[in-house]
Amino acid sequence: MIKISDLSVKDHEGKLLLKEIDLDIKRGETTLICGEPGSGKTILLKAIKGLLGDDLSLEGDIESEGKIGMVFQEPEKQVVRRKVKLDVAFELENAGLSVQKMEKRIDRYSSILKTDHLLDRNIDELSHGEITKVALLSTMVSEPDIILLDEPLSPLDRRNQKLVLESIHKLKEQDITVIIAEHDIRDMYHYADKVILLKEGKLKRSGTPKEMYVELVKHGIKVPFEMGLKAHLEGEGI
Amino acid sequence: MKTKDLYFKYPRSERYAIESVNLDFKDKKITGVMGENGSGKTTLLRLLARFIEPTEGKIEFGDQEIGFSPEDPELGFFEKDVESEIGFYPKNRGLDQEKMTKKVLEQLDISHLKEKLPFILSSGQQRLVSLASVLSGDPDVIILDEPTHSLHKKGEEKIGEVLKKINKTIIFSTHSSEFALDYADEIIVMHEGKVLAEGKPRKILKDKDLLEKAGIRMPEIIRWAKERSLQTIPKDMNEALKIAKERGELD
Repeated sequence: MIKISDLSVKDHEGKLLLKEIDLDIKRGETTLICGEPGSGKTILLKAIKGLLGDDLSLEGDIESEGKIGMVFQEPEKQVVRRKVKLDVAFELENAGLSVQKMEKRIDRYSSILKTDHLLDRNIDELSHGEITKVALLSTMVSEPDIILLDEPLSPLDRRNQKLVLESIHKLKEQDITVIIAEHDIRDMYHYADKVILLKEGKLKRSGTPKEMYVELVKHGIKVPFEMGLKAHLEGEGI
Repeated sequence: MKTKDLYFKYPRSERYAIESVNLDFKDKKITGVMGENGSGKTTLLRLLARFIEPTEGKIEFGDQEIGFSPEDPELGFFEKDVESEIGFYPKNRGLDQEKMTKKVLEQLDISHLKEKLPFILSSGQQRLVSLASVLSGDPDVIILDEPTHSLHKKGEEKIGEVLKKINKTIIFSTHSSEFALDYADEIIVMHEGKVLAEGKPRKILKDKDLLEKAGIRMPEIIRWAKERSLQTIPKDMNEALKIAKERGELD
């Protein structure tokens, strides 16, 4: 589904931001990308989506099948219209869908995400968490095969986190490939298929959550408390 | 710093974003403001920082200097490199710019970023630079909107330790229950623009019904202790580990 070979990204001064990344992600897998601030999580997501700016140069290959949607770390920057419903419809309009089809599509995903009460509101009245949900809805309505989420949970309160998590879980049921960059994986630990740990732009290690928890704790990634205790016991963690 | 019968309504909005808020922030204490998205946390902090004026009521803060770090750190950046960004506040206040800048760069372990353009940093790094830009001016009251958002555990701990050490009046908003539990002296819970509860972190953060109503996650260590019906909540991971071993849970 996504095959990354020998991927390196350099900034305009030639500094390597990602170094020789090799990665295989299968269809329907949920993958977590973890790492300290500045380790390259967002750059990797942007490279997969093909959104690196002109000031960055890319070497190596990224092959992916299907349509890719992305929710950015600051989702207010991907909002283009004032009214929520009109904003959500933006990409569908560009794809040439009829009004009826658009309404049906928006209603379907809005009911999954429980955002019906937001549809008639103005973006500038919404909280950060509500805007994140609108951005996720805008991504979901275009029915991508792959969804990239850059730290979708940290600005949200517990209630909204649970709603977004439920939705992410539903994406998995629908065979959508999901890649999430997060430094707090407590809620996703049990249903992620794979965790990738980045350090200073390099792929430090990857594996199943169970194979990775000690290493993750060592690098300051939040894992479920019980796993943190085990890592602590092994004495390698903290 | 005190608020008296504070009310605030945004233009064109029908409801109050802040309603009947009476608070007394103790000097040199750290207060965490928690609550769900849209509960009024950011509005309250912006009122306290005097970015917006109350619709009704007043805020008493004497002649104290107030420093503020916004939820989106980029909004506060305007300099060409991190060092100048951090140096702006002390320079403006007539303090020793070089000394203050060096001190906070070291305190927050970000000296390696000093020549970088603030806008190209990762969001976690921007968060640290934003905090450094406030600390460098040595204000009496420090107000931080989501200071640990986008930071991993080590970053949270770094910020928490620095805040504890500087011995100032600090008010921060956060969704991180662990951060509030470990570093706040007092917690205020906001709900629909009003104060729903206030008190010590260990009392507030174990009240399941309150947390559910306010959209706050119970800290993992409290959840873990409650699931085992422990009488006291372990102080830290080491104490929890000891208990888990005694209970034979890690065999």
